[in-house]
Amino acid sequence: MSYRTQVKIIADVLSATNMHYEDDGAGVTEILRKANLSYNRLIKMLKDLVSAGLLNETTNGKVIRYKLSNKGQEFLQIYGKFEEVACSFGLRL
Amino acid sequence: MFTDADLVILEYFLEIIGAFIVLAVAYISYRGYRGTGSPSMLRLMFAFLLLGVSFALTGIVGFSSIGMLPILTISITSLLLVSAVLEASGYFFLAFSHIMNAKVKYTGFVSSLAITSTLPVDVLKSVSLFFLLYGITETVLSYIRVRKVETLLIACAFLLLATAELIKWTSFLFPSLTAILAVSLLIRMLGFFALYVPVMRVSS
Repeated sequence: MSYRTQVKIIADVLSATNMHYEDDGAGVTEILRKANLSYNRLIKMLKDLVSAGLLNETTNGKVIRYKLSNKGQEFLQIYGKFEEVACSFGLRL
Repeated sequence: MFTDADLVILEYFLEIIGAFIVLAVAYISYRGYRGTGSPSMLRLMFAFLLLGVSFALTGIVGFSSIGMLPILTISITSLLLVSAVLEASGYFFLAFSHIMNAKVKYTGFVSSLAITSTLPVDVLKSVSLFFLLYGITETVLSYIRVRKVETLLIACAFLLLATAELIKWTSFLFPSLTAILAVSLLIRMLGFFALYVPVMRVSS
């Protein structure tokens, strides 16, 4: 099995929240399942992504949900485009 | 058809064209790095930036040596050496990107290279070719894995550039056969074209 680069992991986390772009966002459990990460690593990454402005955090009572920001969407578009370029050179982004 | 002088001018002209193409690839890689922060794109940018500067320098020094540009005050031999160092560094970054991706420890990587020449420029050209051949192998292996036409095109581009270089070396053995140099230039031109096609879509 091939390892995932840090950029790929970020893209996977953002893609997991992208499915809920129209509604109020995705919960931690759902992102955990789709991005295939450990809980501690995901929580740290979510914090980093929120502070970087790629995700928006919304709290409803005790439930925290994460929604893709415009900047996050832009990142995913750029990622998709340059993943192709890297792949052409036989590299992983 | 072509005289020796025509081929020499064509060779230097092709170096300048090649410089533009690889610098365009370097710029696209830079955009990729700026957008995603990917170290792979950064390494790719360094590789093509160094190659671009090296090709441009070779072209400028060449035109200067045949009197088509003002004579450079710095020694042409020194500039050619700088150009060869940049080229070798560029191909090293290209090979290094694959090594970093594979996460394999390569020991004795350069020490296995057999260098028969004693001139620094020739030694560096040999090293460049060695890195280029390594890049070809890794790109072909990637193609087998992903089966993408673009990956095959890049592998072909590197293969054409390496073949052109080898044919050019042969032309030193048979200086009277200008056709060998002409074939080398034609293959090099095709190599540059094949290199730019897959990244052309991103530049638009």
